[in-house]
Amino acid sequence: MENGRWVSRIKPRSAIGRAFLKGGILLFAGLLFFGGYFYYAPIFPPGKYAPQQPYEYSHKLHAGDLGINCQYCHIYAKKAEFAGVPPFSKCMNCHVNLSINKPSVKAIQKAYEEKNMGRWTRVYNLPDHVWFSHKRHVSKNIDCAACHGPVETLVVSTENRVFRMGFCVRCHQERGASTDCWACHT
Amino acid sequence: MKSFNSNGDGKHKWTMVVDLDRCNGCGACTVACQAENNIAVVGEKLASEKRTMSWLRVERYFEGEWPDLRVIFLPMPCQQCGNAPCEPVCPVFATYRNPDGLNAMVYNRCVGVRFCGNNCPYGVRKFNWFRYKWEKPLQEQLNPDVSVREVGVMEKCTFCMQRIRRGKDAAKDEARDVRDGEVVTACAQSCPTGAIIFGDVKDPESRAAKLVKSKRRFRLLNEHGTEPSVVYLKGGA
Repeated sequence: MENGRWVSRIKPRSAIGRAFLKGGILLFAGLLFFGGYFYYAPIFPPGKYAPQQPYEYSHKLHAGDLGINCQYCHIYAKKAEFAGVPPFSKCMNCHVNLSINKPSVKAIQKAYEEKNMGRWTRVYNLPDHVWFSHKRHVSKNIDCAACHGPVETLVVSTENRVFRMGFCVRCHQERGASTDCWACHT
Repeated sequence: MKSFNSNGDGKHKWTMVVDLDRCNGCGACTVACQAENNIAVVGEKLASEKRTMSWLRVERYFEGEWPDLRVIFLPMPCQQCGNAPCEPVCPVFATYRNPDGLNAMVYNRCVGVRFCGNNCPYGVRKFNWFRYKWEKPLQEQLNPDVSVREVGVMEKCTFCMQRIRRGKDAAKDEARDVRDGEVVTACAQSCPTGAIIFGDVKDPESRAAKLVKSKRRFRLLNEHGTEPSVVYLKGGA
C-alpha cells in the first residue's frame, strides 16, 4: 500500500517474468473454464437421455410393430397430470399366454409373482417450477408424438426432446392457448 | 373511485373479502398459508431480525387504554393491487398483471433486486435471504403444485393460484364455468369464523361480489390509488 492506494504486490521486473505471469493467469482461467464445462456437462447429450431401467421393455415392439395405443398402458394421461407407468398386472393381461418363453417376459412374470416392480426412472423431467397436466393436452386431442416424438421407433426409452419454455410457448401461441406465466408457473 | 371490476381483462376477477368484525386473530389463516404454499419456517433468530417468511400476517391494532382496551385484528395478505406499485419497478418483469386481475410473481424470472419489496406499501413481499431447509420427514409435506423457492428470490401471496388452476381445470373437464365456492384459498378454508371470503366478482351471483357492494367496505391505503383486490368490512351489525 504505497501512497494510500491499492497496488498489486506481484510485480515482476523483467519482461520474461511478466510473460510467465500472464501465461499463468491464462492457463488458470482456461483450466477453470474447461474443468467447469466437463464437470457440469451432462453424461447424455441433449435429447438422448436414456436411463437404465429395471426390466427390458421395447416401445418399438409394442407401440410400433404391434400398434398398441399409448393410452392402453399410460391410462392416467387422460385423467391426471401424469401419464403414469403401467402396473405389471397390465402386462399380464397379455403375457399370461403370449410369448411366455422369452427371457424378458419370464423376468416380468417372476417380478409380478414377487410383487416387485422395480424402480423405473423417469425419462422426461420437468423443473419444479413448471406445472404440466397431461389431461389438459390429451383432452384437446394433441398427439402424444407432438411432444414425445417417434416413441414407436425406440427400443430403449429415450428422451426425444429436451423441453424448454420456447417449445411450450410456440405451441400455445399457435393454438391460442393461455400464455399467461401463471398458466404453468407458480 | 374506480369500480371493483375495472382491472383484469380476463374471465375472472378474484377478490378476497375480509370481515374484520368476525376476525378474532387466531392465526389459523397464517398457519394454513404456511402449509399450503411451502413457506419456510425461518426460526427464532431470523424472525427476530424481521426475516419472517409468512405471506399472510395478522396485524394488531389497539384501541383505548388499559383496562378499556380493544384489539382489532387485520389479516394482511398481498393486496393484489390493480395498480400495483411493485410492477413498474421490476427490471425483469418477474411481477406482472395477470388476465384474472392478479398480481403475478414468477419466481424463476426473479433476479432478486428487491425493488418490488421496497415499493410495496403493505410490506407483504418476502425475500429468500437464505436457502431454507426442510428437516427430513417435513419435506414429505411439501405441496407438489407449488414450487419451492430458491435463495435470492422474492415471494408473496398468490391467492392460492394452484387452487384456482385446479378449479378451472375441473370446470374445463365438465365444460362449464367455475362455480362460486369451488375455488377457496387455504386461508379462507381454514378460517373458523368465516371471516375470509374468496370469490370471483365478475360472477354477479358470487358471495364475494355481493359483499364487495356492502356499505361496510373499505380498502387499505386506498388513497395511494393502488386499487387493491382485498376488500375489508368493518363497523357494522
